Amino acid sequence: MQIANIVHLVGGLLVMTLSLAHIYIGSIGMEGALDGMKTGYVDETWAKEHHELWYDEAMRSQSAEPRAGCIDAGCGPRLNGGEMMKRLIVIAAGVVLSAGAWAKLPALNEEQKAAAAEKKAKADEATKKGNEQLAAAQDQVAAMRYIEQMKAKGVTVTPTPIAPPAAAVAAVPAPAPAAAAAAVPRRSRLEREK
Amino acid sequence: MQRFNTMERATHWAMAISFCVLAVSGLVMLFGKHVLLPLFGYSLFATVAVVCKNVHNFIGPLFILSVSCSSCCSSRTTCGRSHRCAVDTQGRRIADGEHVPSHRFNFGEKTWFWLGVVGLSSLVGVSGLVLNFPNFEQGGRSCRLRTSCTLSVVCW
Repeated sequence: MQIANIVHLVGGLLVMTLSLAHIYIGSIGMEGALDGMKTGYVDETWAKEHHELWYDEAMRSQSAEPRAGCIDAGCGPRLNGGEMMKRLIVIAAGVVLSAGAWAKLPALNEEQKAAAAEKKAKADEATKKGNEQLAAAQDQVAAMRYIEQMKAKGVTVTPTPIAPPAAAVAAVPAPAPAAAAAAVPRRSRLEREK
Repeated sequence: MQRFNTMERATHWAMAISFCVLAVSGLVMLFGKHVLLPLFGYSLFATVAVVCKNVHNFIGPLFILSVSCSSCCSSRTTCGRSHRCAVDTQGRRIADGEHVPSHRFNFGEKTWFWLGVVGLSSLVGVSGLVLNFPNFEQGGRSCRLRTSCTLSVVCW
């Protein structure tokens, strides 16, 4: 999570910087580049100047088979029927296999469902407990701070112990006495310094 | 002559627009506290920041989708036979200040595609998803990462 945050920030800034260069070249840096992306078509002179090998190949394939679109020349040699068929079969096999794996996934039996429910309940309980502990710790810190602040103004605050909820007595120590205990040695130290 | 087909242009502009929105909202969230807050004041900046956060969260998946579409569409053409010699010969010849005749995509375009789009953008996308869903069991992260890698290899 923390690593992801750093990676996200650094990567984002880097790609923003690079994209500025990309936008510059694509718009005002290179004349005619933007039209290619806007309309899909470029000037033949432009193609010859900037992408000579591509232009040559497109011209060659155009004269060889006049009906074929130029775009195929850019995508490498045209696939013949057999090659295309082979690719399609591979893709279809991949789809079938992954569909099989996908269909297998949700088949949970009762036992697994019960285990998942139990795991979830456990996780919920752990979260709740953690939240309670966090709240207790925050209360403690806030109490200490408040006592310090009031002392700075010359008011001595004696914390009234708050009765914790009955269920949490054993698990969470009452925050107020702990705060008082923490505050007392500090005060005596201050007095010693005086 | 045709250079980009409709699919390539559609993914390019979807990526471009969503990228700009994400960049602006991300910058507002990252530096806005130091730059915009003194200008705007608290109440206006709070509104702007909340809007940016939500926009960032909702446009993000669109960006990830368009990046993966574009990676799948263009990787075949960007990695043609000229790519094999691109790195070792073309790079060296460009460094010598020579004009190198290029194929459909030149050295810079290929670098931008593989480094910027495929590399960095998917890195940012994945880390953004990790940040967006911290409540998933992140112990399984490596497993999901492996799945997505396999998926992209299969697609390609």
